[in-house]
Amino acid sequence: MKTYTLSNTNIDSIKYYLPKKIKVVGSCAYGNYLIDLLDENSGLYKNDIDLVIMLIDGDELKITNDLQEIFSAVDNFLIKRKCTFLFSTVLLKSPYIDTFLNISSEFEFNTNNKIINFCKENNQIFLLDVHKIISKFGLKKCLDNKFWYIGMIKYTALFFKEIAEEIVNIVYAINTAEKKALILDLDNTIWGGVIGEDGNNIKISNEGIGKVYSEFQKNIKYLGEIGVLLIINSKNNYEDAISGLNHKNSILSKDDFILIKANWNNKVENMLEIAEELNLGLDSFVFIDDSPFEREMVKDALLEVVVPEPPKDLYLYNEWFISDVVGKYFAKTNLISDDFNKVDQYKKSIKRRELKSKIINVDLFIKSLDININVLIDELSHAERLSQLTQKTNQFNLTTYRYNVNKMIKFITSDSYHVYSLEYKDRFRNEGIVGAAVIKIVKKKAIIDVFLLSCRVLSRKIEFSFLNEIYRHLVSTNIDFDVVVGTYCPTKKNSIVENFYQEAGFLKTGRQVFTKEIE
Amino acid sequence: MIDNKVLNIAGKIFQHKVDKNSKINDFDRWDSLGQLTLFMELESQLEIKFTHNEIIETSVISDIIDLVKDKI
Repeated sequence: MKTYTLSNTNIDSIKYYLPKKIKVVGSCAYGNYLIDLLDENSGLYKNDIDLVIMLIDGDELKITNDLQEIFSAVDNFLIKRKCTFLFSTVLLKSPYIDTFLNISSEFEFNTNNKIINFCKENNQIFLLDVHKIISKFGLKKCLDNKFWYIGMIKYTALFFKEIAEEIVNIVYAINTAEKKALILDLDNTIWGGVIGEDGNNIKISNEGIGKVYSEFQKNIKYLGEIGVLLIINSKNNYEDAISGLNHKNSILSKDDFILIKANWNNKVENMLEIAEELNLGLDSFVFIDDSPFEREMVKDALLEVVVPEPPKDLYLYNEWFISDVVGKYFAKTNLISDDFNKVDQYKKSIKRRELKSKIINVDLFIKSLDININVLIDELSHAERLSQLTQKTNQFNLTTYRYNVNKMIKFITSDSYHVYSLEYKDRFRNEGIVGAAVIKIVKKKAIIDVFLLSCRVLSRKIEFSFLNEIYRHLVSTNIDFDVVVGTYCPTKKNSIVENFYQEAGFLKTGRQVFTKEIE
Repeated sequence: MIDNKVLNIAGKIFQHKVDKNSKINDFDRWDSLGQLTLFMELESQLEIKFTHNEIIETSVISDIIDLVKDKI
């Protein structure tokens, strides 16, 4: 990623700590951040930048007092250039000259509030919170007077290393699909002790070891609320498992889980059943279990499942979970309404499958769903969800091209592309946007760059209706083209769509290329 | 031991093979900013402190190694 840094102090040392894939190709001259943001001849505009890191020092900002100008300049820049923009919180170095008048404290607090709100308003801007690092290591280890006076470098090597890691994590979270499901053991994992033996005496409380598990359950519950699918895979009697979840101190309840596999089967078999029942790939799973035996067994048999190693010291359990599990596999940079409904949608989906197994005739079943689809074209407000779909969808995905929000916005606003969103509802519920297509118009060809459908709505034949709607729209516009071209890029997971274009009436004209002439 | 530690730290910062005769401006990344960053990193990793003059004036790896040895 071509990266540019902006600051009111010297932060050029950051380039020594960023990985090669985040290459700093330029930075503003000392204090010239506003000029670079506003001047279209500056290096910021010339280098086709993918990522901007703006790290503002609070003490300098207090002197220049130009936060509003910075906000306007950033807005102005992002109208002209589509890229990811990281905007830092500010830090004032204590002790403060205003002693107990709290002027500096108030300035820092208010400024950071404004910055946080500013970042919320634009989906290209992400908060780079320097206070996370200060709170972990302390001010003394992060700031250094000597290098400030020698070279206007405010921060220490440790700070640069940590902020570089934070930047890498944010960029990773923006561009990579998070895992979908957290699969949990029960005994000594979400509570202390063995429910089948200890009964009501399992450890889950507001003190000691019980509090560790109580906080762990709160963390798990939070993940469920933001769309992570929670599943139990435990060697237990089903009734015992439920009695544990009904414990008076339990934060989690049966309803928080979309599937509960509490039985005496091998956990690998359970895992395979979960994947099948939810129509998800094993690589969307993270499995937490206190037993090294069970972890090894799952790791050995199912390479795709992530199986993190919990710490030996139980008091580090929650810190480990947040940084090593949530931070690595469930990190989110923003939430969309779909995230809040996901668990409910999957629960309905399971119900639908149960109904399907009772109805032998598939066509009759599909008819019984009262499906209603709606295709929307170049909807800017859908960019985030469409990007999310390209990042997450593996099975019904013809090309598996992954696009971030900025790229999707570029497609939607470009004359050479058309972007289609598919909305779906049936008698069970409204699933929202479940399909995406990106069509590129090149030399009289309409090339299907992206065509995908969420696994939540597979096997209902709506893919053909979606493709037909796209075809009808293309033909109805003034676009000059005479053939539609589709490509199938095979992956380990998308064999389900290998014959899709032929089934949709396209002719195979190349190894993985399919075409349909305009009638 | 110390020699290797300093060579490793400098090699990582400059992303270049560094030996005892290497000096400032031998590689792209060892400019004045690289010089400051190297000393910041040495201070951080070895838990020692350099003076202003030492940072400005010590710009050959063998001299830096000697300086570090004096401080540990």
